[in-house]
Amino acid sequence: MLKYLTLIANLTNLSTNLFQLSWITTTLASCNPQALQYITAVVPYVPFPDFYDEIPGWKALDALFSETHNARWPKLRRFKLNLAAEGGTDVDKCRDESGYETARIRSSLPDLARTGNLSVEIVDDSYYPKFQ
Amino acid sequence: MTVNVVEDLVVSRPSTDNDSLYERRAPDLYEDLTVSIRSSTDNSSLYERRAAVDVYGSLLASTQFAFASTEPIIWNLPLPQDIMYLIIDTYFLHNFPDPDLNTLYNLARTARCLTSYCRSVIYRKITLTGYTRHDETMVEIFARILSGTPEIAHYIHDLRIIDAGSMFQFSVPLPEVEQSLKYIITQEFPNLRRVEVNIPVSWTLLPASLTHAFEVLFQARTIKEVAILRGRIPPVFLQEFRTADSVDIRALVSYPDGPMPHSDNTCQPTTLTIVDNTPDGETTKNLLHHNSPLRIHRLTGFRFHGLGTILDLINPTIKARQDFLTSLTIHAASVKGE
Repeated sequence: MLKYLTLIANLTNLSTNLFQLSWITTTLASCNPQALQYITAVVPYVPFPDFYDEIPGWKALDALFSETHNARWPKLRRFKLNLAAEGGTDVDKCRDESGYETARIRSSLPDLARTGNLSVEIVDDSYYPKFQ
Repeated sequence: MTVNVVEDLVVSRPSTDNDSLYERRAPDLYEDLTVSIRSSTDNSSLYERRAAVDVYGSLLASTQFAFASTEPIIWNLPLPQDIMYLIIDTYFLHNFPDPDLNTLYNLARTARCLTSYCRSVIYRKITLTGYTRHDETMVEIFARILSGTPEIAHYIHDLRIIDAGSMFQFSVPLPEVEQSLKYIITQEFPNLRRVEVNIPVSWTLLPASLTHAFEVLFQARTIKEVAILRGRIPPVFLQEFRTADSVDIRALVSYPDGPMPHSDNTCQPTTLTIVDNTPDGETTKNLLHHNSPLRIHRLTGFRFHGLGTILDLINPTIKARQDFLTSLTIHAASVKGE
């Protein structure tokens, strides 16, 4: 039974990627969550946290963890939301030292945050393979 | 009580013409490499140069450790062995990707009772590249070291072969660098667990003797992890990975038109990574073809990175293993219709 699930969105062509997050929500909704303990979702980093609210699939993602659906994830211990920023020095530039951006993004996922399992972090996208 | 902790092994070893060459060249080499690393802006070249430092470490280590005194070694450090080994592991092995090898070399040279353990750390991961200094590639240098001190083969757990495009000439007889590579990879490494090959060539174009040498390497019973990160390989090549539990394929896996023959020898990993850069999923199709040597009946971990348009190709694998997969990663680089 699946314990670790990682779903990575398209991290290139940022202008069009924001509309490709719905497949993550769809996949999460369709998988068997009974044994899932760790979920990692990797999405592009956008320096305007308010923008995430506008992404189709974002609210649906949160809704999967609402109180009515919470029993779906009996063993969930951590939901990591990794915001992948361009590698190298760009990552340092957009490090959220004040914590404002990650806190703002957490607040855009209230049901998920309420579970106590959500962590949000800005990461280096060079870890992930690149595609043309 | 015998005090023999501090000993300059370079002084104590017998000298030969070749040795003096090593001793003169090694510090220059290191200095040049450090400058190159700092000034380089080209990523692939940088990677190769950084890797070259590993081989430099081998050079320095073997030339300075190999002829150590034969007097008995007495442990006379103020901490017990297990604590010292733990400190070395923590400080050097876990400080990836920039372990402080220079300090490790100095430690090995000054504390004789730590020399053996330091060697095992220094040689644990060896990276071979085609990077050239003083008209000699790192592969050739390491082949010479291995030939002179074959016992270092016992320490190697992780062997990486990286080429930025200059190592292979596709000619017969084999050029010097390819002969050196062939020599290295056909040696016996009793503790080798991982092999990573990052060469931008089509394996079917390599001279037969070199292909055979790679087969010898991959067939070592101790190998548990194989990563092929670039180039083009035929599906049948996977049958060489028969002992590997973890297989990572980022190269193009291609097969000419026509039916793929059935393979009796199989590769049966428990963890499989596929990075498919093709628009039509050619690599995925060939790897997961029913006649491919790859078998999924032991699979518990699956990582897939590819265009969203080819996600359908992995659905049968996920469904077939849905009760057994414990770890799944899907990286959809774009989504169908968008």
